Amino acid sequence: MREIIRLVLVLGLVGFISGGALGAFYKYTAPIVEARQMQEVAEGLKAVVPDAKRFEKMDTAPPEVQGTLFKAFDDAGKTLGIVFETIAKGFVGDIKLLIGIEPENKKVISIKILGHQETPGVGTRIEEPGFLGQFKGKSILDNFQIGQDIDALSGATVSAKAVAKAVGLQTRAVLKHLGQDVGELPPPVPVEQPPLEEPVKIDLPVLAGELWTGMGSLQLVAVEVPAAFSAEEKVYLVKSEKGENLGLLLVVIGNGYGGPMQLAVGMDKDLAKVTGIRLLENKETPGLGTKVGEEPFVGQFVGKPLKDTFILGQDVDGITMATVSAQGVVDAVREKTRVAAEHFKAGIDAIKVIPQQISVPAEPAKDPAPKPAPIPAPKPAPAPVAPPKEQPAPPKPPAAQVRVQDTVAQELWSGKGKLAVSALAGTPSGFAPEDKAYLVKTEKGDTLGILLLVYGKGYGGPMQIAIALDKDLKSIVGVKLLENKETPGLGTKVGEAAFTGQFAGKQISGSLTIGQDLDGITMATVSAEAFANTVREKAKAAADFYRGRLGS
Amino acid sequence: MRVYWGDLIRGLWKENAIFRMMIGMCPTLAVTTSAINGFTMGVATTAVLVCSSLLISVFRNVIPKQVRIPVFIVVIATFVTIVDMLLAALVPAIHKVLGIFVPLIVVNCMILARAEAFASKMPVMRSITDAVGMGFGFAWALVLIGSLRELLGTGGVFGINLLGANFVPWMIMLKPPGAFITMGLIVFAINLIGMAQSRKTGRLHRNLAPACHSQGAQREGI
Amino acid sequence: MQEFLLLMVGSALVNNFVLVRFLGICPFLGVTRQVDTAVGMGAATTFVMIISAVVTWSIYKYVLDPNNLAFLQIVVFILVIAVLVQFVEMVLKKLSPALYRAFGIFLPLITTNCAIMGIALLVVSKDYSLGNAVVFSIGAGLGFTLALAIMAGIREELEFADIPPSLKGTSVALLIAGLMSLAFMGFSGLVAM
Repeated sequence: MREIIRLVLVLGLVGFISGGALGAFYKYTAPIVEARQMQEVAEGLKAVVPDAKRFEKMDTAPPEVQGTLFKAFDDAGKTLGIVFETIAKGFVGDIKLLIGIEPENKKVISIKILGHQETPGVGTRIEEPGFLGQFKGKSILDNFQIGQDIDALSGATVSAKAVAKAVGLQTRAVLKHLGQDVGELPPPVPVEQPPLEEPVKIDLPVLAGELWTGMGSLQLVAVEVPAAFSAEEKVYLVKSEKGENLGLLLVVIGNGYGGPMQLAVGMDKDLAKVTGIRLLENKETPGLGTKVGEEPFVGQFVGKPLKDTFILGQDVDGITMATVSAQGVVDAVREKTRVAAEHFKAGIDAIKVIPQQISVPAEPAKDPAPKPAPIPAPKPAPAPVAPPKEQPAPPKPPAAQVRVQDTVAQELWSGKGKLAVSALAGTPSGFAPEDKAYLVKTEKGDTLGILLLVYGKGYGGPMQIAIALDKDLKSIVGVKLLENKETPGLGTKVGEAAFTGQFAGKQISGSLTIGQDLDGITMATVSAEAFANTVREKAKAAADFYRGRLGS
Repeated sequence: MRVYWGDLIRGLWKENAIFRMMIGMCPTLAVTTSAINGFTMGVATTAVLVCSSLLISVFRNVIPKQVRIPVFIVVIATFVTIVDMLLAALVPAIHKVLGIFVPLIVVNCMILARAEAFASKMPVMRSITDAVGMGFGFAWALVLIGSLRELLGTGGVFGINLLGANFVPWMIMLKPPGAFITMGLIVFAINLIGMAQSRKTGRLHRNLAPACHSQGAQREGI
Repeated sequence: MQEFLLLMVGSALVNNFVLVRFLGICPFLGVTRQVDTAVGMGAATTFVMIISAVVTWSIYKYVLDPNNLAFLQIVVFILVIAVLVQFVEMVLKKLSPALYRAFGIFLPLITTNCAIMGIALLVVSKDYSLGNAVVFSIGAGLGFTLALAIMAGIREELEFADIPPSLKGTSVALLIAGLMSLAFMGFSGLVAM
């Protein structure tokens, strides 16, 4: 028993001494550590109150401020202001703010962003001195509203609003806490949206300047428009000051979510790349669909080769909550640039400029539609850049839509002038509801042949294939790969001339089989075979069906 | 006098904590990212070792055998805490880098083993010299490894650039893999030297292996 | 729930106790000759980790911190852990001889394991809630066991390999550990820490 007591006593004694020693050392070192920590904090706090030399923690803080209030003193011991940290709810996550205020003058000294997770390049603009500087010396009694007393940041509205609101709210809360209640922050006044109906005046040369940067001031000249373009769509030749051809500017219409979308698409002088796009007049949902007009979506088109598939989700990233709008843009850019590239394939320098101020049109007979006076966009035939002029170009079909069959027919029967494409009735055997056949005639009325727009099962999904059959329905004039989900760079090679060119001139009754009369494509076997099979089956079926049913 | 000298040398070389006994691997790998860090850790560990050995040796005849282990632990832990506090106050930057490894000195096999095997049995002077020897041995090993890693990882030692501006630092040396690989190569080198020596002396050579756990493991028959 | 999962992945993989934090190196090098023993050691350590994390957290939260005695944590924690391990061993022997046979023998070795003290200190320094602390220690234990198991597996295979004599044993083990650590660096950035 004594033994145990002794042991316990010894242990207790040791513990006691240890505790005592530690306590003593703690008393000695703790103030040093705390002072150093204060210094580190002070360094940080000085960012918003530069003249301060010393900071003191305040005992209380309003609940809204998550942290402590610090009093700032200068050399002489005068109170310079109060500094505190707070959090604003930004677009992506929390934005940590450091705010310094002068309670007597009810002013903000300055603010600093300590941390945030906002979108790089866009939301990160809240760190710009141009934005933060607005808060320097700002009266706490102000409204702190974007668009009113705080300038907005384009593309970073939510982030900017969050910061402004947080500063406004927290400074008032701190003032109230210090005994100077200045009232509540007034609720944000909804900024009036400009009515969408109002025509947006597009300054095309300025727009061109954005798409061709660093080229000085540019000249825009209206040129002939491809047949497949609708009445409101325009093409301009973009020239530098010296007269050099820089490229084409297309003003085209796409199908958006809320209605038609007007897009400006720049093409480089080789007509091989997109220089950039801009969203002009549109009816898309503000803040959602309108994002298709903002970076980073539009940026994807800068320098984009026309050869790319232009498929949303493949070579073009979409926008969450704006899929239809994005799809509309992508489809429009793809179709219009391809049509333009095909139409102007003679090269940019061969493009005829529409002469100015011609009173007599070169081919008056072809232009049945009267020329109305120019009205705000969208405008019919006359170009908006110069006073209305007569168009020597062939008349445009009254339909505002671009029809795939027209475009493709022009391509597959090139050099035959403007073609008239009309739908054919009847369903050849093996044709699905979405497979279509068209009769293709020249302007004069000569039958050229039949155009099939059919679907086959490719590797990645359905493939849309255009097959041009000669009028004797014995041979294939040409084929083309349209919409598809093939692997870019591999399966999409079936769309390249090296592959499709093989079909030109082949007999419909031939074998049309990969490995026999057709070469395949390495690494794209499934796609190539699917393509060839589809062409073979559908061409044969259509030829059998329509043989004898075609008229003159 | 010779005995004291022997105690000192033993810790520095023949029974060097890291290069001979492989004790205290955790801090060795963790804090040798630079020479100064290794040095500070070495000094801290030596301080704890010396102070606790001193105290335990002074009271060795007073502390009852049954409770000696808890008492040792309390003594060691107390000194570790004191050293931790002093480091925090005096060299906060290095203290931050050393992080939890300063408190972890308390589980360093070396200190408890030394207390149990030596300090509780030997007179004060000998305990002190032994502690100093072991501690310095640990420290210089840490400085060596730290210098090596710092040299290759930043181009300099103790902050002084040695390899010139054109040297592209081997960042990996400052990261965990670098620690393991450096240590592995050092052990390899030691084994090579040991093998060469034993060939000369004819004595059996055993490759370096960690002392703490393997002894315990052998005891338990694992 | 997701927060717990992220915490566990973080402490098991991204900041693996052995390969990144350098805690538990001694058993990692010493008890990894065979996979069975390694896993056993890992399991025992995990078990003790969780219990000691909970106990030390509670002591800190309810005894030390409220009384401004935080500076006593090193002394208190190490004593608690030493006592705890003894206690666990006794309880295990009484309650479940099977479990005791499985990993009871490792228990005395665990007291000086950096990992146990390490987890107690980390949980306090990171100011975790009790739930987070438990999840953190489970993850840490799992990561520890994983590292040990991998090392043991490799070393078992190495028994049949023709290793140069001076590399045998700890040297090659450390080099392997370096490669493992390099591989685990691939996890960095997986979880926002």
